[in-house]
Amino acid sequence: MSESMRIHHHFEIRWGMVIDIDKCTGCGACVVACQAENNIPPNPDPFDRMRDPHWLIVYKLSNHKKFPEHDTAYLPRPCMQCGNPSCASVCPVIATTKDEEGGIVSQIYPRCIGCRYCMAACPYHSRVFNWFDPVWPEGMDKTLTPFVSTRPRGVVEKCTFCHHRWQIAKEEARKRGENPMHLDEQAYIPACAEVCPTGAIHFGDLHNPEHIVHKLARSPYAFRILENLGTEPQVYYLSRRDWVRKQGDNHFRQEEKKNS
Amino acid sequence: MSKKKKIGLLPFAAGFAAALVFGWNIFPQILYSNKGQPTTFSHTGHLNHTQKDLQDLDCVDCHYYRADGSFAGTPSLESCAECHNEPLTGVPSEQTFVSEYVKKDKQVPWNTYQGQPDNVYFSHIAHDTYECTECHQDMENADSLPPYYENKLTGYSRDIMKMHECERCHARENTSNACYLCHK
Amino acid sequence: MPDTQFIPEGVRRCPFSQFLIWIGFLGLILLWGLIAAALIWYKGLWVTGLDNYFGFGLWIVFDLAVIALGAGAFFTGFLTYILRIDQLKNIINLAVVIGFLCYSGAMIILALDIGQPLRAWFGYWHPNVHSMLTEVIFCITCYLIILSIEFVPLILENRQLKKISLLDHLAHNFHIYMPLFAGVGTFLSFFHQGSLGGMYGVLFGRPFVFRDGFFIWPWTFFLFILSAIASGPVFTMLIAALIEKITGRKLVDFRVKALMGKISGFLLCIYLFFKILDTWAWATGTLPKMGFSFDEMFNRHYGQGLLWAELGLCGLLPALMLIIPKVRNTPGLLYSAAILTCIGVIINRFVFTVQALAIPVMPFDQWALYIPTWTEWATSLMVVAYSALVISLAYRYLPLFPQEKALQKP
Repeated sequence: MSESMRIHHHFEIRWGMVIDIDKCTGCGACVVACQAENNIPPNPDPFDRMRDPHWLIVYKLSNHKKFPEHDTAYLPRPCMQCGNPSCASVCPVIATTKDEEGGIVSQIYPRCIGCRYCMAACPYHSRVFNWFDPVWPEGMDKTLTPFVSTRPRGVVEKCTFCHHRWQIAKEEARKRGENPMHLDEQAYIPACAEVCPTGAIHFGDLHNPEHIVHKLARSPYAFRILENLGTEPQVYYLSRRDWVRKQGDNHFRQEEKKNS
Repeated sequence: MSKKKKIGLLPFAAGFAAALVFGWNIFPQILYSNKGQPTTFSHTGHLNHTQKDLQDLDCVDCHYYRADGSFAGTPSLESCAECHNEPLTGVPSEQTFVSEYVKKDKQVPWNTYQGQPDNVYFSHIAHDTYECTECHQDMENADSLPPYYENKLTGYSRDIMKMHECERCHARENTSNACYLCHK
Repeated sequence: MPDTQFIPEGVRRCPFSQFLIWIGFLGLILLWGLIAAALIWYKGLWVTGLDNYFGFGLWIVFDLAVIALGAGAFFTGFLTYILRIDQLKNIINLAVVIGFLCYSGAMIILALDIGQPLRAWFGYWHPNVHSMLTEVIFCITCYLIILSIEFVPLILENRQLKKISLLDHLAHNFHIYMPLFAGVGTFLSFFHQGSLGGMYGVLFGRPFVFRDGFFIWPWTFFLFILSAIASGPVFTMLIAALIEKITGRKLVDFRVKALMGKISGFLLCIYLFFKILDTWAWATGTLPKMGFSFDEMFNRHYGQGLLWAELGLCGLLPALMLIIPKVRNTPGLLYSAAILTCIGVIINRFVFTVQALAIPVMPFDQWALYIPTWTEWATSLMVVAYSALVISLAYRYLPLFPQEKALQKP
């Protein structure tokens, strides 16, 4: 990719996620927690996976080998909050940007015109379109999160790393007289990371050595999805299994070498 | 300029004046409806009690930060009832307030002058170093509540803080104007 | 005929009743499309075949195709008014009408395609200057205004309207400034045709369409301009031939049509030279750098056949046919080559829109398949019917073809 297309950001804080695939059981609790936390309405047709409203989904990976070598893995996929997002620069109306400290890619629903160009740009399918009018079963509307706005039909939305929780954490820090830009690791955790029963999802500031993600992201078992494209995701994955790490990217050259 | 030319300008001047009157006076009346507030409230009456046996209040007694740093805004019925469980004065509006809201345990549906839309986030504590009156009307010496104007099209208050006002101050103070700073 | 006094002098048109039947038939298609449009606006976009994998579908393919084929308007205008190729004056009116229809039709489709049509004006009010789409929004609306201005004097040429002296003078003044509008139109068109290609070329998350380029412009920027100006003239010429076929009357001298074919043919050769070069560089350079192989870009639904059809059958073949004078001057072969050229451009816009989104980019993802629903077909056909309606009215009541009178005399 040409240098002119890269947008370089420097942020003091770089919120990041490190997901340990070897610990993920594929239970889907993160998906449910995300849906409840972020006011994602139920899919009117749950079998229509192509119009799934979920911000976080779990992919099933297979090593495509027969028993007894057969192996599977589960890969939860939030928004990668790319360091060089493919989506933000294409939006015609500045509805999505990567301009805030922390590096979370924003999505402003009242600005979005629903052209879906960002969805065409994102190779991770992290962005979903609101195909339906949001409808909650009676009584469930009482459980909506007041810190997350509801979205109308016809706009694009995506995972925000539960950005509102960061806002809340900053307010708490200010009340205690602490520096809101230097939060404790436990002060701000997205719903998916909080709920994960096996502790597979780690979250924190990738620039802060006091946060565990700082160390985990530098592990020899860490990888990011589609690094070849130059998107520079802020979501890392961990696996001790070679075949899992290999499925994190497309490897044209390596295969060529192997065949020759 | 000849007299004829001057007369020729007259329709334009009249039209201009009419447009100004329409834009500044008539159109706002069409667009906004004065909703007022459900009940009266006197800030001066609470800050400087006329009756000697009652304790004077301070602004932060009602408008305070909660333990988690969020701002309480307009006090809830429970806050009011801490003092007004029974009528304290002979003021008739207080008696109506006690009988209509406190006794019936019904929250007062106050109209918030600067209530932001659902997609906007604002942290009062982050703006703690500024005077309240930089953004809010000074109510310290107000004996009654100002009129509440609602935009008939959007349903929002007329006096809401506009995005360009937030952005202007942030630019002036050299603070970030990133979308996610204020949007949710 | 009840409308005789509105029909241009010295030409013959079909009986009014026959015309009404034709208009009624078009009206039925329009109605069907309007029902679909109402359904889409009322229920939401889930009634289409679009989904989270295919944010773009038939509508965007349709828009890109008609905008490319509608390039005949600006390019013929450029050749007529700026380069002064006088022969093309005989077809410029039709080119302008087709251009107007293609662009206004694309607008109608876009109003359906975006999720929040009432926010469409955000594109002007909150533009993101880094987005190729912003440039497209600005240019296609500006150019639609130019096309409207170019269309107006033709309307004022109507026999009854011409009698009003003010309108007659207005039309005359419009004609004087036409080279200016043609120039502005050419400038705007060059940019948005390019930006439409640029829209895809910048998608570095999509290996099928991503291209390196020249400064901020990916190579697709230039390829889309070239393919549009190569196919636009033959499309205009084809529509003229189609009107002749339907009405049974000679309207445009065959030499003009052959000239349009010749222009397209040469441009197509230039386009294909660069397109083949680009495809080769992409397959051997860009793709491997992104970690992909050429074969991974195709599956049984979106096969390599599409690529060979685009470059060979609907590319090199018509290009050769159009540059060989003997072939070009045979009506049947000229029209066949023109049809193939148009199909080639449509395939190009289709694969860039749909195939690009069908290909799995994450290694553990799967191929997706897009099938448009009847609502998308109906609304697209509605725009075709609307265009046919406007052309029918223009043909009947306006002096669309300056040569018509002369060609009828034996």
